Amino acid sequence: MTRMFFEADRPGPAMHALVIGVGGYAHLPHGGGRTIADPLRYGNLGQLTSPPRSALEFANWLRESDPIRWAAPLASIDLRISPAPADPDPGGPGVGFPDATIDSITEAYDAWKERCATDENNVAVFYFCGHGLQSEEQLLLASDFGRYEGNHFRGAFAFDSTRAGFLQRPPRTQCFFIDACREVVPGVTAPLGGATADPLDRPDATRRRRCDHDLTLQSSTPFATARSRPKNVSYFTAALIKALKGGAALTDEFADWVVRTDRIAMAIDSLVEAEAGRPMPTAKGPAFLPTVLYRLDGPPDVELTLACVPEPALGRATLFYEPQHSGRAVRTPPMPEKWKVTVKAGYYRIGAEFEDHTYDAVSRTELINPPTTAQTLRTVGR
Amino acid sequence: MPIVFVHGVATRRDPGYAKSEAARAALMRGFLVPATGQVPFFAPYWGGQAAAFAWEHASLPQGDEEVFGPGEETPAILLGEVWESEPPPDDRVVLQVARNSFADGIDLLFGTAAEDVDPEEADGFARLAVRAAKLTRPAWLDTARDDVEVINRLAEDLSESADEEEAFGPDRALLHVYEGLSRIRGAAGRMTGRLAVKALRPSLNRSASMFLGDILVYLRQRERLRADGPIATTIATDLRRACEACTADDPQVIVIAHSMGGNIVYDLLSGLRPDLSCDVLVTVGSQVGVFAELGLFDAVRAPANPATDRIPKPPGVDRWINVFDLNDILGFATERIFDGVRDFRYSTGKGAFAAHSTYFIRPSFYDRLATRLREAS
Amino acid sequence: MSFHLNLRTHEQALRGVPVVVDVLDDGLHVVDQRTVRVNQRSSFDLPAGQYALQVTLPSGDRLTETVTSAPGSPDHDIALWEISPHESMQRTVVLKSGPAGGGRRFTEPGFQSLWVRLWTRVDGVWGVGAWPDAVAHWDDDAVAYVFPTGRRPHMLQIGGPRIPWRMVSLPAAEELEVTVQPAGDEQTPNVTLTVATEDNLAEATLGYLTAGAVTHAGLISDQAEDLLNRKTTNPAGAAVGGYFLLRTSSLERLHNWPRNLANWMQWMPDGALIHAWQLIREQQESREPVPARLDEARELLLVTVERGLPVYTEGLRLLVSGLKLFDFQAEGADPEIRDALDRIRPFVAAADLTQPTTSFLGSGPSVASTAPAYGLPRSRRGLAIVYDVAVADLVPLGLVEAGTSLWLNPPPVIGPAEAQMTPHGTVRLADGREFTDLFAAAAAANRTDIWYSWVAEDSGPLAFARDRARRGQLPPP
Repeated sequence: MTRMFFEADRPGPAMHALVIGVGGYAHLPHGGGRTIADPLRYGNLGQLTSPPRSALEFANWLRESDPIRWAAPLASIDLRISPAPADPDPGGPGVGFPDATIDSITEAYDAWKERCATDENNVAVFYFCGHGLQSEEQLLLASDFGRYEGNHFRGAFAFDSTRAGFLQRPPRTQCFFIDACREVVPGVTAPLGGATADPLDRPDATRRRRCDHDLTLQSSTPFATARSRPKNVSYFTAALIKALKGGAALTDEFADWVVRTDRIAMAIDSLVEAEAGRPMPTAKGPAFLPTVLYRLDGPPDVELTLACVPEPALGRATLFYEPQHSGRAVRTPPMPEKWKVTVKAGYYRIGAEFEDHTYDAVSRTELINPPTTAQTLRTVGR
Repeated sequence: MPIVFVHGVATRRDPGYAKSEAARAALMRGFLVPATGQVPFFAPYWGGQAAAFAWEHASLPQGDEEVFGPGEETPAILLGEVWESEPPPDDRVVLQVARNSFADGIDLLFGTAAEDVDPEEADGFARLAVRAAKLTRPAWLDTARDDVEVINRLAEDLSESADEEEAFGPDRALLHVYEGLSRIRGAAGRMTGRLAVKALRPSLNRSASMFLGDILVYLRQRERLRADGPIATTIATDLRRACEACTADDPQVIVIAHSMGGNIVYDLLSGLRPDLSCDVLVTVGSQVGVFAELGLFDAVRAPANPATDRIPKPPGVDRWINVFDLNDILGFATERIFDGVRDFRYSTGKGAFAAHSTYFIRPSFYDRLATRLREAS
Repeated sequence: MSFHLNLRTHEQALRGVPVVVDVLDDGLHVVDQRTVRVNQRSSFDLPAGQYALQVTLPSGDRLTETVTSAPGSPDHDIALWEISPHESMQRTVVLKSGPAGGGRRFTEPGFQSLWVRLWTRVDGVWGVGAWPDAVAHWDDDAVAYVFPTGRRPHMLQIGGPRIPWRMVSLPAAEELEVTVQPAGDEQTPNVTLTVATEDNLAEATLGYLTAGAVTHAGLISDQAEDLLNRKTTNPAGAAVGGYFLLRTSSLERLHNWPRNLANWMQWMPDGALIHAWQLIREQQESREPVPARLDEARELLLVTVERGLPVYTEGLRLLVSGLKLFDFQAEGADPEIRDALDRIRPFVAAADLTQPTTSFLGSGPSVASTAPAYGLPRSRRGLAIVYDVAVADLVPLGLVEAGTSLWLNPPPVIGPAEAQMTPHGTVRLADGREFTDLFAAAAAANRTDIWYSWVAEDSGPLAFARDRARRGQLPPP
């Protein structure tokens, strides 16, 4: 039995996560093992330093988040990581993790599936970060991709079928996060017959769909590339964590700030764009009925930007924002740049005053929502 | 450093034009302005104002049916230039070419791949080509068994640690080189003996007829309209825009003109538009020397003593480099006619096939050009 | 106490579009969530106080406004034209997700000679038809066409010298609205293309589904059964309703309509597909499997492939997973299923699964390719230029004869233009755009078009030639 990254006894429904980060690929160039013949047919897939760190960041965030804030409290995290030779200790010196070979992933998947099935009100979380390719479905590569010369894809699994298969398993709430590329390469299209990798699970024509609430996100659309700065958490993973932390939050009928599956799907693209500095659209899965995944203990942070129209007014304005039931924050002296501040979400009185009376003072009340809100104050010159 | 590229004869905006334009622009930027971000780049297109063929080339001798598959003509021409005898076995084409000359092998691979690079991938491809052109002949070349091994070893030598970003998937630029290999293989397989020459004949004929046509159209426009001719205006407009794009930090304008483009730029700078200027003029595979000898330029007067009399370079040109390939039957020397120009020979290899049209798809050409430009400054 | 909300538009075609609004009180409790309709006044009975309205448009965009509920408080208007660059774009902006604007203009070099053509399938054979005599608006940041697609499969193809050739499935409609917008950046220009039928309910449902807002789709689509029920009048809307009910597992609400859709609308592959999945899902939910029904589902999936690609991306996705389901069931030993998978595999590999209707890179309806083509097609048949013709293409396209003399007239003033001074010191043009700079306002209002200034001997301004190209009236070669 492999040691779990996190385990807790939870009576009743609980959350079970399987987190996989593949950075070291033994049979790809510079992977330390026997290199496959003609790796260029797959576009020279290299060793990756980001996926292990991304997976670790995601697992750590799950572990450190308050268990009772989840729809079901966190009960287990199985973390499988293959580090890249250039970054052998992503968890710090001496901290090792079970490998992310296809056997290890398959074993972990089966065990996770069993844990998930203990209660239909559990929450299942599957996360994968590493190399991906596109056939008629997305293929995700385990660390021993290319181990068998006869079929390199025995070290990979087909994602879309796996996802379709798991839909027919408990629990009712299922989250799949896939941070990998979806490029088409000759090594996938050339072999006759096409289908090159087996899924971890298979859909069945006679089995009932058990999933009611789905959140499936793939960090890249077909032909697109998922990316990261080396030895950093990937853009997608960073955005996902921000979404869960409150970037995708809204209030419910009890005025609690909650993170719902549909809001994550709707907010993720702008959060990824904020991380990467350019648009990198994601793909969203079947998305049945939404559900609350995480409840915050208070309003989330919002990046608020205040500006004026006409533009010259900004350089003369004393800008302010004033939360409900709290004191006013003022920017003095006036500056020609927009005012960017991080505030807690909620109602604010925002406005601009002009000491030199060159423009009319303005103010209004706004609901400031996460993750970012830009407000423009229109004024009139005197 | 704004760059102006003036294309030569027989350039038409066909479906491949956008791709080749993007690849050429990216290669020029990649090799000539290393480590610079965006460089203003101008490529005046004058092919649309040049010769039109009323019978759509009915005057060309009818060759056999097209022998090469899609995208195979470029590798066939490149291969034809460096390989005289029977082509090598089709799984060892690049290997054999590279063993003779490593630079030829790189040119064959990247010249073929460049044809298929999408505009959005051009910069990544150019960066890879720059690194490839800098490689010296590797020792593994003597033991490599076939082309697949060659490009995999090459990919390994070219792989660099990702500084900025790593991708969770394939390297698109290398994939193009890989996909080009199948077209090289296809071209070589169909290039047995004399068949090759025969197969490429229609396309060479067509180029020759367009060459004549474009020259005649330009000369007629100049005769009637002087600097206001449509071709002259198109090119002059971009020369002026390039000058306007200069900044105090980046004051140099480079004009690279191919073939007939070189003759036109010379004509503009020496006589029709003396108000225009550039810091470096590079004429490639041009006929400026021949045009001068034939008295086709206003600025050129017949010499009293051909052994010693030289024509000064145009006043608006600071430095002038003329590059030609000895195998290019349409590229000519200039040094013994003009003052202030330097001729450089660039050799593609043994054959004498179609060197004229392949300068700008070869990484080795850009690499040498970059060296010459550095020397010139 | 109550207040009234009005989502206002000048665009008649948007009237009645259902939009979901959440109402939060001053303590941030969600106190109401409901559907309102564009251009219809909605009353909210709520205690006096301050509220926030969160309007989620079917495009996925969210507008937040604060209002006060007090005796005699005026109606709260939200002007939808303020979020749209043009009146002709309002419907797209409200209904369709995607990057709006981005600052690109069709006048940039990368978009010259961008072209479209329309493929139609008649008797099982795809061919390029004449470009429809469409109602069209040409603005430099959006071009919109409205034309009927009727009861047969259509695909729009778009491409250009620097834009990869792409095929987009068009749903059946009496008035289909296709909007093309410039996108990408200067180095790598691209276009976004949106497609909307005249059916506001179906489009809003599809919009919410594409944006991942299933609850919102559910709120407005209590009428999803209605959509299906209207299948004879609106097969595309029926398909959207069917996909929605499948997605939400509302199997009992599908009734026997998918069967009728499959039988009556044989030209639309989505009908057979929805019926196949209805059978599969019913089997999966039932305690006793009936093998014969699964056989029927298998047969229907094969029929779907014979009928062509589903119009909607949701359908393409379901087609692949359905075929894979039977492939797994047969352990890969069912040759017909294998063949069907092999036939659609290239399309799936080349498809853009983020678009609502099936879209893929390809040179024709039957040819998908992950290596895109660029340039102009050789054949001029049915070809229409989207905005500007590259000057270099005027002669090759037969629009201007080589050697034609041109002269330049001073740019005409296309005026007078109407505008309004706003209380906050801007000039607002009739289309809603606001400017603080009078010069920019004049340029935008006047839309000086240099194509009118260049006049060709015999044939008048070059704009006439360009307009012929835009209307798909290229002379035969």
